[in-house]
Amino acid sequence: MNILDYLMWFFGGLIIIYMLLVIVTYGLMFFFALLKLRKEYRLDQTEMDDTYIDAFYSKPVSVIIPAYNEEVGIVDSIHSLLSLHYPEFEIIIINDGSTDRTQEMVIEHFQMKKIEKVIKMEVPASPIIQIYQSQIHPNCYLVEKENGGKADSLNVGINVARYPYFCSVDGDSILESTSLLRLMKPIALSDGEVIAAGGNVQIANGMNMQLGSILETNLSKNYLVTMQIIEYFRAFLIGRITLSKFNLVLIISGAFSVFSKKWVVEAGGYTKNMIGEDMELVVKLHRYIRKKKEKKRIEFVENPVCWTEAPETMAVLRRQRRRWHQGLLESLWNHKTMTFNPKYGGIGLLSFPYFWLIEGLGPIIELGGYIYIVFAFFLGDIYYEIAILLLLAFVIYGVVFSIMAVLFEAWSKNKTFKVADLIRMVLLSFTEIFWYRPITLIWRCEGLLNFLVRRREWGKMDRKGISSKEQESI
Amino acid sequence: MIELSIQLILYIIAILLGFCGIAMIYLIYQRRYEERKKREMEEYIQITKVLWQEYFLEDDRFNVTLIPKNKHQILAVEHIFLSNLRNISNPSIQQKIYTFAQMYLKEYYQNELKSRNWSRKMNAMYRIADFHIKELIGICEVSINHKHSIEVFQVLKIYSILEKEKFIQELLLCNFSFSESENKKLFSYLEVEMLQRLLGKMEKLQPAAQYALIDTIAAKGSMDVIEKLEELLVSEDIEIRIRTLRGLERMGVIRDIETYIPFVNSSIWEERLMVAKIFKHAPLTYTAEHLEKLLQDSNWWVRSQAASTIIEDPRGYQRLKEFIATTNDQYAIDMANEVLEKRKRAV
Repeated sequence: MNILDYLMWFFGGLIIIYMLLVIVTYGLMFFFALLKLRKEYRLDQTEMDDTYIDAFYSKPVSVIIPAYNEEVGIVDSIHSLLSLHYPEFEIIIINDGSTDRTQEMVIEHFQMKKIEKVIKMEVPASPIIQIYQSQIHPNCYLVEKENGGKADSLNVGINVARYPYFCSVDGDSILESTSLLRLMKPIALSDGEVIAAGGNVQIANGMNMQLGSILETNLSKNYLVTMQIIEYFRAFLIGRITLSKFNLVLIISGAFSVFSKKWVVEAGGYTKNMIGEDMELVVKLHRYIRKKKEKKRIEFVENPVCWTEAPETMAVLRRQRRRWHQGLLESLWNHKTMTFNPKYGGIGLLSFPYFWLIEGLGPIIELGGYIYIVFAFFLGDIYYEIAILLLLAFVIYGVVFSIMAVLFEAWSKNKTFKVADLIRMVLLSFTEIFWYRPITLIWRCEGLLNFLVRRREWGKMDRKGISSKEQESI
Repeated sequence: MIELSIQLILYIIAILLGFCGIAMIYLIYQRRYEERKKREMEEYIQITKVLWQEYFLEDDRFNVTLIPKNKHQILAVEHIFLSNLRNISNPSIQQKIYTFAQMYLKEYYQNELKSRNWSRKMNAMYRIADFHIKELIGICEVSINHKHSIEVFQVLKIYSILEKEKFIQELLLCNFSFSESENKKLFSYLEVEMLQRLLGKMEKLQPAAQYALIDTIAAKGSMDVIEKLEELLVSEDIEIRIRTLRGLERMGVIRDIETYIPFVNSSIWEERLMVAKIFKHAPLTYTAEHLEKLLQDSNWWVRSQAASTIIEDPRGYQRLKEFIATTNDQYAIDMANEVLEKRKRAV
């Protein structure tokens, strides 16, 4: 055996062991998620909605929307919030120094008037320039501030918020009317044990929406978007349900999550100048509750849905994935002392190693696997067989799990899916390992590189808008 | 070895894909079934719409066509009943729904309660509570898993709606600690007399149930309970004192202002906040001195509430202006200015 043989055996073995580990981990996650959803399958969810729609049984919530140049989607997003079925809530829109007409549009549409309000600075944040209140919806406020980033805007929102819980919603997101009620359910039922909850984020491209209401659910015709839909199903339905069951969630989406204001304030609020401010806050909360030795939980709730716009072009998706991966690594690195630290229980012993190995460093190993396959085919002989073995492992990981996620989603939403959409997504899942997976791996590796060289990239997604009215105007 | 692994993985993939294929066929079949079910339900509702209206609004207008003949029609009837119960508060319609459910839906729910499927069993219990099917209480009791808090809660809810005496007995024996929201829900079905009885046995309840009981009694707003609530203000449990203050504030009646004065100097800011709120219900002449003290409180929320309480009084505007002129406390001045601004805008 020469040195090349040793290297090929070593890397081949390493990648296969890694792939087996990933497959077993995902398999177990899928199994636990299936068990959970199977139990509640066909349970009348409206029963709970009706029970907690009364303010007497629920907790008031401040909904915070940080907005930076969101003129395309902000009005619809606010309309969707105004039509929420929730007994007591306020909406706080934070205009983070937008350079477009975001502020003017909100002021015009909701008849905003300037007000004086003394604000208690509970978490560090940029100064407020002006606060406006809607004359037609008195529970709707607009806060004008200088540009300081999403985390800073959210911190301003926390300071302005009157209620004990706040919900962060992205400026381009649309909530279903029962979403907040359902997201608050574990909080209302736990008497404060659940201090944060994240909802299920799904892609809205292609849907028929007007004034913040979903008129018709259609699958986007864009393959890149459809592939992201499949990816979201896999991440949210399989990954987060299981992690949540064991209180191991490190990421709840900033697009739609609820937090206890008291705990967030004590943990210091959102960290400025971090790319993944949502993950950073969750990790900080885990760290803080362990330090305080409190029995608290952070949960993912699968049935409240928040619709968001996904990138439709490779360039925008590349920027998004690069940033997401860099954000993930930054948070993991910031709290690296938690890794394998028994003081942090399951978070230190399971969550951190999982996020480091499978989510954080996974792209390098997986991409290495793709490169290995190409090399092995050229080298022939025994490596040819290792390459086939690896390819089959990729098929299980990339194709089978994706199909299972699509079927799982269709099963859990038995009443709403369209058969043609299901078939399209299943067929598209077969192609994932040949194009979508490798390119997203490359982008995630770029994110890793950016993290290593500490390169800052403040990406901004080019919005097309998700409502039919918005799309017509473009 | 590698050949064997390849073969093994190929088998695994084939099995998994086979499983996915079967699952997909099943899902497509299920979808078609759901569509058929929906269509049949809509057809039933369409056909019987007028008959249901006559049944609900007129006497002796029952038509046998209304009796559901299959599961889909039962689901349609459920839909009609729930829409009426949730949106219309008419005792006559409610009674007609209960009578109909007792006559024609009882057997269906009885079978559902025997189902091994947890969701179906729970849905049946929800409907038994909604439609007041008293005769199925016994079956509910035996069909639940007494180790499962959600099931025990649902049975307690049915008791609190349909068998109140039994509810109190079972609640006191219950080992589960339900959340405050759940306890409030259970108590909300009870009359004030029943709640007063529970208040007498409060020490036997879990803390969350105690807090929920105080909140529910206050929300019912009966004047008969004020004295009993005031007795709780000397409780050693801080949370009970805060809840009681909040409850009394909601009821909006102050019998004797002296009862509340000690809370102005409480070391717990939530108590000071609540007393600042309670003073809304007394003339400013009696409370001004205390509210001005609270306006200079170390806690922001207490200051804010004290300012709001003062401005709500007809003489509050002038009193705040005088206060601003005489105090050096900048925080208190800011707060007073904010409420004065608000008042100006409102005018």
